Amino acid sequence: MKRIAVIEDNPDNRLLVEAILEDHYELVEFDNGPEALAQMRNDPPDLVLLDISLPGMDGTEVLRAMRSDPILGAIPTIALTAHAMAGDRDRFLAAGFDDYVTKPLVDEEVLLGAIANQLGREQRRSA
Amino acid sequence: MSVMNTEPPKIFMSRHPVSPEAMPEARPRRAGTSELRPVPDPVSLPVPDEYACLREEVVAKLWRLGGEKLVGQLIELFEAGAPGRIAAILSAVAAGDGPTVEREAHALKSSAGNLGAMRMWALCQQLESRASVGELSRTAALAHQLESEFERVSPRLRGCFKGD
Repeated sequence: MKRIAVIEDNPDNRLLVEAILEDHYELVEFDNGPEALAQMRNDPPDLVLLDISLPGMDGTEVLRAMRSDPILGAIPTIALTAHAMAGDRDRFLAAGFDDYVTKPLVDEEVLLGAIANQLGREQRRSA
Repeated sequence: MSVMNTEPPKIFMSRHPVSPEAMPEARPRRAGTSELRPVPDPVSLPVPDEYACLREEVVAKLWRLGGEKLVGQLIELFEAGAPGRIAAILSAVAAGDGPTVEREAHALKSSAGNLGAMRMWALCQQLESRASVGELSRTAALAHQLESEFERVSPRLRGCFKGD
């Protein structure tokens, strides 16, 4: 079963993501960037869900650290953000994310679809 | 013959989730650390009366997703955390502390939105937007409105949990 790292400081959001994903994927959860990076280097996940608005080291800084790391650099990473508006897609892609999902997570199919899309792409790249 | 594994997968927590009570002590965000956060227009919409106090279809969806356990946990987290965050917002507004207003409003917005408390969500959005650009005028009124809105939506959420 594919493993997803969820990096999100808000416990409500983590709970909701768990409820949506727990029957489909193995999950490992973090509430801060530095710990997530350290743990992921030891045991890289198949995909990362990354909150933009983390306290301290925010999501874009975490992503920057991932992309410059030889172990973590190629892991598909989806931004979880409350800030996305129309036309933001290009900005998130330019920042290095593979996709983004807006919060609140009202429609679970959006998150599931985004993850399946990225994992499917990764599978095709590896083939 | 293979046997389907019906056990739910384990969720490995790296550490205990940060409790809502602990969040006000989190380090404040450094301004401008994320280029993906848009600079909002400080001339915001009027108080959003058109937003629903509670979108009950959101709670219904949560029931379908995770049943009583999920709905109960989310409501519990919301009710445990919201008063502290609202108090922090009110104090920060009085002190002219924009970063704290922004951080607390952002976190509360997320919790409110997850449960369909859309008027609270909209009020938090306005507070966050204003605070992010240092525009704290009228935030006192918004913060008090947020407080009233929480008092209005909280019993309705409990009613949803009881299946009323």
